Amino acid sequence: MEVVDKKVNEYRIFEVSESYFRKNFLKFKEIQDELSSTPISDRLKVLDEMGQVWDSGLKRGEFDGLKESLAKSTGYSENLIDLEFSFVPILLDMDNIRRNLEFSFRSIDGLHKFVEVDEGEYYRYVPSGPVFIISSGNSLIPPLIPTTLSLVTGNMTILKPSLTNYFGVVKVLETLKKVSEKSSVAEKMLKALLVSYYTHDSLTLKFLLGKGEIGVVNFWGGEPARTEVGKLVSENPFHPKFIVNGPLTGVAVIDEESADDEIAWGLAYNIILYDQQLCSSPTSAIFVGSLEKASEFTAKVAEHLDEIGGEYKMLLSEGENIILHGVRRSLQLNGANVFYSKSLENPWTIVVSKENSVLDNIIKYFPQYNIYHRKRFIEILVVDSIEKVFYEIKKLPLREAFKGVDRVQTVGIALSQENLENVLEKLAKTGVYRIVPLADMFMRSAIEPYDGTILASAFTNTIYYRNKKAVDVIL
Amino acid sequence: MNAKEIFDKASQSKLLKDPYVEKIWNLIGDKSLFQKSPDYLRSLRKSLFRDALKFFSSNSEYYANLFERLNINPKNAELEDLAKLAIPSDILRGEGHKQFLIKNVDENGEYFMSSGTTNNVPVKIYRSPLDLAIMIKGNTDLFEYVYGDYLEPGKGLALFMAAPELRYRLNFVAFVHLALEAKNIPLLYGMNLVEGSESGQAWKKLVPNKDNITKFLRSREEPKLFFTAPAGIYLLSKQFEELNFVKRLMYKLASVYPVQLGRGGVIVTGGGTKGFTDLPSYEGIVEIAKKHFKAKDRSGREVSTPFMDVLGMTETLTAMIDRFGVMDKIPHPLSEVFLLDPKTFEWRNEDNVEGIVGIYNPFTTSWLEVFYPGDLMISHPSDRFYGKEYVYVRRLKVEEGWELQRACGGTLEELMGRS
Repeated sequence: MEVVDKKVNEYRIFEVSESYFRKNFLKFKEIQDELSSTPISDRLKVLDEMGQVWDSGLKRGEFDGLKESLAKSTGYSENLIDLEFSFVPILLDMDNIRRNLEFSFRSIDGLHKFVEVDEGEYYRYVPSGPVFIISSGNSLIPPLIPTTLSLVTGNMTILKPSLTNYFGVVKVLETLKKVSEKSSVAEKMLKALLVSYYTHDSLTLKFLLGKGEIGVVNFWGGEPARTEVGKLVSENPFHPKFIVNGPLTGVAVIDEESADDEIAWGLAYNIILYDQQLCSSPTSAIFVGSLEKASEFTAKVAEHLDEIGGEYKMLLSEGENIILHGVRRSLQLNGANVFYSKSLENPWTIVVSKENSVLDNIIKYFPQYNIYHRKRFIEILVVDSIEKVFYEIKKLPLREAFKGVDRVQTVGIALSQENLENVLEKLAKTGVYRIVPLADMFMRSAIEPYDGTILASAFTNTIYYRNKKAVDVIL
Repeated sequence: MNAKEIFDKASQSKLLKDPYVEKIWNLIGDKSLFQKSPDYLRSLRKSLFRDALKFFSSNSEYYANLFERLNINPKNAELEDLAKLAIPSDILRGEGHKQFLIKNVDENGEYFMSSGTTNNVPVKIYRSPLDLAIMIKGNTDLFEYVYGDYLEPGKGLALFMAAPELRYRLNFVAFVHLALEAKNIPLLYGMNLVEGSESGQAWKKLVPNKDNITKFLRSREEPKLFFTAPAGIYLLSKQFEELNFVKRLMYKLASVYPVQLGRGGVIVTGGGTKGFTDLPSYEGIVEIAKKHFKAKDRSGREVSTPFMDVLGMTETLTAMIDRFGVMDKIPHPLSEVFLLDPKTFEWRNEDNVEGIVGIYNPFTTSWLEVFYPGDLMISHPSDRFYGKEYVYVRRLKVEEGWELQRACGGTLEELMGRS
């Protein structure tokens, strides 16, 4: 394979070259054609076997070195990486993916043949690809989700991981190589997968986006890269679909009737997991009730943060520590009730503010303490009516403290039945994508859409076939 | 405002009727403070701190609420409580200082600003005429203590390697300018500020004012006081170092080289490295400069050229000053300088370990001036009035300028750009 040899910081990078792509687009189509004709159940089986290979490797301790290096590069604790590694077989589980496909398509057999969906009318779901996935972030799971769905739907899949998740993602996908030794379907899937890192100024990257014979570009990330990528895609003569999974966040909504110890544990757990870097992580909370009850609840959350955070240790740099201290002090000076841990390995902070966010008052003095750098930090806004919840959720992306976030993805709720009945419809209209129990905001069900989009469908085109005259069908 | 106008306005301040402010005003002019024992001064500062808490409680609802929230009682507060009250300098950026000013703050003062950084707006501090007068008095006395002599009014000449416009922006320039003006010692500015624009972008730059520099170098006035950033004296010394034989001879004939600072002459540095990354250590700068700048003591005997360094931040009314080879940095006797644990930000009593420096100035009347700017220092015992001296270590490293992008599962580190 022709590559471009580059050096970025301590990494030596081999980018797939532009000329390789120029020469191989035709081949990519052939690979897709072949893969999308194999029975879907066989493809699912391959993924499942990948999960099993990963699981055995995990049990044998094969990824211990990787765990250590990922903890170093991502800043996450090794325990968290452990947890993430344990999610891989669940993600690749045949039944989970099948469920996702069943909720995405009328019939999943349509992924390898025409299926009759009504008398004389047929659907066939063909790959829209090649699919070019530009993934991001520190975690493994987010880039693996679209990659798996793209592959299973028969697409030639070109994946660009991030520098920090690269080695983890590649390690997971290497299991496909192992499975392919004994499976011809896996061999086809392996051929349909091309993983390479590209620097942001890469000529190959520009070519792929602006001129490459690509069917779908799936971009995960925010500005300014999103706009730059979008501009190039809009100029592409092959008019790829452009699917953006932008920066989102989570909000926890609790009422005083539900604010028990279990809910406090749930909030603490979701704060600690991934240090609030997931799009579903609660980065703010709204408490419906009195300040007194909110403080009682906060004390419980604090206890659980100590306990859970102690198991998932993080490291603060000198700069992060001084900013964190400055922020806490400034919040106190501005009248907020600030609860925090003195532990440097688990430096959680809870701010309790009445009606108006105190964080908003001070964030202008600490531009570095933006949402990307706030870890184990939450402001609990105490409001006296459920109606204010909708207003706060809608307002969140406009707040300086949440600059760069498109909208609220996940609302984790802990509400009394009465409040719940009143809010569900209204919450759906605030622009959020997910409403789930607070306790496991981070968990995705197999059938969930991704930020409002059914990804598997987006990676395919539905071909319609009718074997009767229209008039006969209608009648 | 010139120094006289400042003192005139200060003397009319209504705040002087307050017993606490009156006490401060009398103390700031008391040079005998520099002869007191460390214990006496610490006890004085504690008592002033308690008085200050009362004063600010009654003159500011903000402070009254704050002390209550922090459970600090003016009657029995200890100096260690300053660790709870110290504000990060970041909060003084932009209009941040306003919230801390007392309700009837004296008007018609001046604003000073820090240089700011890529991501942050500068720290901006309001100084009332009364505070400015206190600044002049306090800094002059401290300067003379470290200098080791009295600056006789009307005698000598000073050169400041800064532009005159900076007098109204930078604290360090203002305090030198006003202190010398109050002493009637002429001050020359060694730089000019040039403004211009290019392709719509406005720019400013400092260029040397050769006339003023030559005037200073040639002057036979004594003492000659040379104020500059460390880079300024280094670059000038390097130029002398690189002179060829003929030029050196010409300069000697023109009485320019070596530079004679005369009896009581001193080089005073301040303002840090000013973005120069390839400067030698301060010791190295002193060594090279001493070859080209000569000074004498009062009796006219040539001495090792005295070097003083001023650590003056925008947020502090008085500076910390050292004299190379004689004493490390020392604050005004009324200032409480304290060190905080760099990890926990808790009060640290031990010497000879690094700590985040905090400063409390009980003589500032417009706001409770207690802050930590984000610098590491080390203290060590001293037999001088303060009982301790301080050595600057470094500024704390705060990563800035990275425009990170949020994405599910973390941040997208490689598609970033410096803002």
